[in-house]
Amino acid sequence: MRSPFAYTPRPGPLQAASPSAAVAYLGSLVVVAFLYSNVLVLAAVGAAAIVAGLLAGARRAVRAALWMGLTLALLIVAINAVVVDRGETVLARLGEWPLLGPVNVTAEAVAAGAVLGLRAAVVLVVFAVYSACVDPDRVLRALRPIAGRSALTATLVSRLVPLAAADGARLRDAARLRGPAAAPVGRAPLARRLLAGSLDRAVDVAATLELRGYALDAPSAPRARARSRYDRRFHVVGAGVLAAGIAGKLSGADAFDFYPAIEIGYGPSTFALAFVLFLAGFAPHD
Amino acid sequence: MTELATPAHLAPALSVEGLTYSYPHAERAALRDVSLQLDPGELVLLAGRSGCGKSTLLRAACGLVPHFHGGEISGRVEVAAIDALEAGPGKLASAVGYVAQDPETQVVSTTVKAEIELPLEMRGDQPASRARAVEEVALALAIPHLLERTVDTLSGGELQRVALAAALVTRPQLVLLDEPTSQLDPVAGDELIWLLRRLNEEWGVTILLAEHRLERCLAAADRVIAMDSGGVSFDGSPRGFLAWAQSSDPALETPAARLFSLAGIEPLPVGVRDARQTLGERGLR
Repeated sequence: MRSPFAYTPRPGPLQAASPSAAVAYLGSLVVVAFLYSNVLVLAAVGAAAIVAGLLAGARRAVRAALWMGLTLALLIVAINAVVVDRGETVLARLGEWPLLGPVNVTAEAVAAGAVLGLRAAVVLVVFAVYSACVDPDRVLRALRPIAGRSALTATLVSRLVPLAAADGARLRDAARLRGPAAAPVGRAPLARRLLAGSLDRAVDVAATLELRGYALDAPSAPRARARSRYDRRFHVVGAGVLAAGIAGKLSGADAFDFYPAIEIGYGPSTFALAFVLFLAGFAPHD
Repeated sequence: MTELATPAHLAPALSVEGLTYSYPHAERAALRDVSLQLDPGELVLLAGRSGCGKSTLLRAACGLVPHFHGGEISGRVEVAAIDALEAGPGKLASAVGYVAQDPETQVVSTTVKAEIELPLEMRGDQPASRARAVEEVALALAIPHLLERTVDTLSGGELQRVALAAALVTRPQLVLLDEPTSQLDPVAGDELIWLLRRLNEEWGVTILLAEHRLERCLAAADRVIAMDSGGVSFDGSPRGFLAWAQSSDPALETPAARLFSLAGIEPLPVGVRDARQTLGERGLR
């Protein structure tokens, strides 16, 4: 079965756009997600990424990324709640823990973890949309004149997602085939084997790229599909998102503090920024 | 009097002299004083047990060793009159094609067409000539119906043919194959070997094929080179190889040759047709 994150050629503005336009658009959402800690702004960026993915036909990728993001977010919340001891509102006292000492779970630490988790989930959804909608072949060619090694990395990333998915399925099958009497294989050893295998494969794919002449200085012949009529739209929306993010930052739209007590700023500038960001999600609409 | 350089098309497809190589941090050399020569148009089978240096020799012939893997190397490797140790894999890309054993790690593009077209594009060929070359190689490998497919929808056999097409599309003088049938079913494996033989005869491309399942390839080969502990232990005809393997390295004997030698039947067969003829001559069919 194909990985939900694998690129699928479809008609649509995001798929037709040049890699630079798609990266400018999706990258601007990631930048704003890293700039802000306000829950409303992060939720708006997440909603924009989901809408963009759905409009671009990447429903499976968005759904898979949301599941992964939710799991990751819960993990981050749990770790942050246990590790961070700051905050005024103690929810639970868990006593003495080895290495950590006295562990008090505070509402502020849970909230801070939730924001970190939300940011991770948002970034994951944006990358899922990128992976499913932006043709890695075009990325490879677009990056070649700039920096061979960057393109190599991009290609490895684009090929390794489906390869790792296939490897994971094979490893799970192999573990099941050991029979009920065999010791169960845990997720951690499986993940370690998958990582080691992926690195080996990375070297093989990189070698193949070398053998195809990627490192040659010869100029690439012009491609027929160099530019698209949607490029301007994505460049403009990407620039608009960044400009709105910076303007919002300057006007205090990111008013949000976790410690010592949670303070959430919901001023007009925050709502205006969130609305603008949400609207940016409709850019892939044809 | 100055010595005239040999034109590339008349030069040996592969010439290796005194090649010794060790991978980084390796305790022993992977190749020890290897010398061999492949003439244009030959199909040579590279035999030997696991770890004997077959794959390393192929990597040296396409420039991956030492340029990609690092390590210490001495000796000389020339491919179609190009110094492989100097040039590296990128500059050798037009002269050498390489197909590894795992088909999945040999594709870097999303669609079959883009994958086959990639080496030509990297070389700077114009779109029209790229399209023509892709069509020709696709026809030769019987894969025109796959061109618009995405690579992750292909079977292992189809993927291996696509990898071979990408290796052949620049019309290299030498194609190196590292156990290309190891992950294919027997039928797909046999088809690939005879496809290689046909391309070797029709296009005149020199082929160096490393394989473990010798019974599958011996009949297609012009010559066999056997390796042991990083060195060349045999270099001769397929029939000569069977006789040598019987006395020097029985692990490399084919099942049919072993059966014939147990039954005391000579000569040992290099293929099914050979076996049938020998048995027929003895009235055993």
